[in-house]
Amino acid sequence: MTLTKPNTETIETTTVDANAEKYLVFQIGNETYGVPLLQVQEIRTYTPATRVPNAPGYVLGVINLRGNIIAVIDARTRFGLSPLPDEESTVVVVAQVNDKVFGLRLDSVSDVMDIPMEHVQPTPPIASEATQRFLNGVVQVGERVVILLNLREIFDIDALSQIAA
Amino acid sequence: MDSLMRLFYDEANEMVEGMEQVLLALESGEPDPETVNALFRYAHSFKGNSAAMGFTRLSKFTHGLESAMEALRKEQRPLTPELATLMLQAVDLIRVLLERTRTEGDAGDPACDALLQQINAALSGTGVPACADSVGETSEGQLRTGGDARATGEVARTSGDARATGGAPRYRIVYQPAPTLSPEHDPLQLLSELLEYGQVIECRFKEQVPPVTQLKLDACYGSWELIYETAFEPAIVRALLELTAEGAELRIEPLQSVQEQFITTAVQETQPTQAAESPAVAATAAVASAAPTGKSEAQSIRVSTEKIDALMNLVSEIVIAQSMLSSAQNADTDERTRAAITQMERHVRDLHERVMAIRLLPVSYLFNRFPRMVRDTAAKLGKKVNFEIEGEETELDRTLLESLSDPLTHLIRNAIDHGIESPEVRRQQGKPETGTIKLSAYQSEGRIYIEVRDDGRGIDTERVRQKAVQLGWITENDHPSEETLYDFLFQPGFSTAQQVSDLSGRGVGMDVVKRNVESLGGSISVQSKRGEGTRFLLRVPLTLAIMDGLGLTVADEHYIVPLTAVVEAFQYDSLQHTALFDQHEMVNVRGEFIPLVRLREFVGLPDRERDGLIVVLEQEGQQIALLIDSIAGQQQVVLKSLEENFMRVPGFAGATILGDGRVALILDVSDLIRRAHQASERYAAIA
Repeated sequence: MTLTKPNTETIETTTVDANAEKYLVFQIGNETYGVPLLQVQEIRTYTPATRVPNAPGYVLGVINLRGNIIAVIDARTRFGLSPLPDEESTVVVVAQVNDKVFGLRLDSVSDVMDIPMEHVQPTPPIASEATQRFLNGVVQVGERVVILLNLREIFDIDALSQIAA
Repeated sequence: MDSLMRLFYDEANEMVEGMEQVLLALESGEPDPETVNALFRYAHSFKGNSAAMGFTRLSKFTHGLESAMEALRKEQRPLTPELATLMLQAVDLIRVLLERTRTEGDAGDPACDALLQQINAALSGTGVPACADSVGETSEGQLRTGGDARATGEVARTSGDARATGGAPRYRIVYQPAPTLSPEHDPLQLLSELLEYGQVIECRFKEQVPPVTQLKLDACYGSWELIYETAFEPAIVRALLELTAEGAELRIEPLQSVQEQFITTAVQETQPTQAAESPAVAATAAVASAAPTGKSEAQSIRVSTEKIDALMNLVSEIVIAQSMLSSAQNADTDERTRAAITQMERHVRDLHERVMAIRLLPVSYLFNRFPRMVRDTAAKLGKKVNFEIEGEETELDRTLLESLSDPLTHLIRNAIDHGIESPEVRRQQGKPETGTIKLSAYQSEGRIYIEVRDDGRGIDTERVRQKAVQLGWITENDHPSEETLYDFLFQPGFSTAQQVSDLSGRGVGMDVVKRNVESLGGSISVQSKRGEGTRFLLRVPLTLAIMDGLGLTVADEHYIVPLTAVVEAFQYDSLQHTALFDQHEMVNVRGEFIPLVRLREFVGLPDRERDGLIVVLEQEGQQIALLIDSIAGQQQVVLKSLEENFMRVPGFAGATILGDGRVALILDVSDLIRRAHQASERYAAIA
């Protein structure tokens, strides 16, 4: 059920940097995204969640995480892309933000990377304002451009409560 | 030993250990007001619990100790090493007494008073020249100070030194009232009569109370053992007693020597000669002899909740793995594998249930300890109280229960002490002489509610205000709202009680209550009406509460309603159906129109062609007819919070995890009913 975190030692690291932080990197569509590894608790294969009536569309529902009920948010829907069907094998990244544990459903995870924090640049205004707040910046690592995600905004509980009310 | 006793001992041991740790911490570090408060609270709770169990002497000793701690708490006195040692000795003594209560019931010890004297002397800075260190080590020195110092004169009297009190003959009187107490037999009267003819040196109450289920209301389960000093002849004493104690069992034995008294009354583990010399020494010696043998019986073990949580989570994972295994079976699976999976399934379900059961208990487990406490407290205060309990079958997580014990004890005691008026006052106000305190538990809107309600005098907001002014929290000209004033009640250091009793009114109660309840993720509120009564409402989360649920299915989705809300279920017949103003639908159930709620619509699913089932749900006297596809069956469910990691979902009380590891949402019946009826009222208003 639970996949182990990717073994960081076997993954090619670009440059060793004092200011580098480890990020979990994954691909959605053509873009590469990253979330701080410290916030990630585990990665699970996605099992269909229980739908929560009247919840916004990007909330896939709730699942049982060892006795706790957590919500799973679909990253694709959240970013305005069409979601993958349930049959497609996907993963859930379980992360803790503000004392709350959430799941983020992704196509797959690819890497753990050292991100040199001083090279992180503000997000160029390519994204719409709505999605802009989900992003913490972009960084070029070797060949790849990694978009750093702001999980706090993605899981935004206040917004959820307002929608539900 | 019944469960109540076991719980008491478990908690008592915990508190004693707590006191010890705090004392040690205090001694080694800078005195921190919070730590002193903790010490005070342990003593206070311990006192309350032992009083509730009928161990009045233990309670009395702790009360004395608490008074001493109060001086510390008010930061008037530092904790000197001498004082710390004495306090620790007191803790040891409590431990000894506690062990003795197991066999003797209400155990007391003459050493208690002596030790309290020393503590008070040490506090006031005058007093006993013998420094505390010598108490345990040199019985010689201690003996001398005990004899000389005027401060310990009390020792002689309470320990019953025959020379000091005139040397009249002494008797041991064992008085066991008739098995069935009738109103004419008043043990108290007998005891007070004895006092007219002599002196009661020691009085010990013994009780052999059967489990609550076998308890007879009119039966007497207690007996008294007295050490009685009188100049009258034994025959006269006997005649005197027999007059008032008809049908009772009486034993009167003359006591031979001072030493013999101590064999029975002082610490038994000690050498009698030594004990007779100095009670304080006796106690210390007893501690020394009791400690290495490690007498605490392990009736139950206390396991940290984290361990149980971890176990529970692990079991949930196994359940999921099991269901994956089961669904992986196919036509090719051989018979042996199939049989193994079936067997495994059964064991896993068993394991799951058992682990869950570790944590759950009906609230009666907690509530049942209160009637006795109410009775005793009311009697002590000369009040008449009728104590009612409701909803005791509500099941609650054990940790929640245990943590609710202190807050409820405080609240109920406060209700008797400050809430209920004396019979005279009540009569004058045209109320029934007997006040009523009602303790009830119920589950609603995804939370457990526990209510303590009295019909007493209510909270005097003006007095609360004045007290707040006195404490400097507000100025004389401030007139805060009622809610703000009620909030003051929960502040540390606040107490409106004019005098300190051993029951309540030290101002530790309410802040402890609030703190305890909040630490459970709950809240407490108070409503009060002058002259009519007060209601404290505790709300605790349902995270771990369990209930019987009925599974309902719409399309491929599964929802749960609490079985208690279900009135009946029947096939939906469109003939029963009436629509009011197009949208608002009603169903005719045997001539009564009940608002119809379509579950599919409620959860945002498309309507279905075929007729389904109607489940009639009721809460607080109001009903709705819920239209569903089918019933999935009845099952026990553990309520889980949706809020903890997600948010409150309107219309749902929480969620639960089904046997296959999937999550099902639990419908909030009162919310559904409220919505439906609000809607129908709106339509009625338009019409």
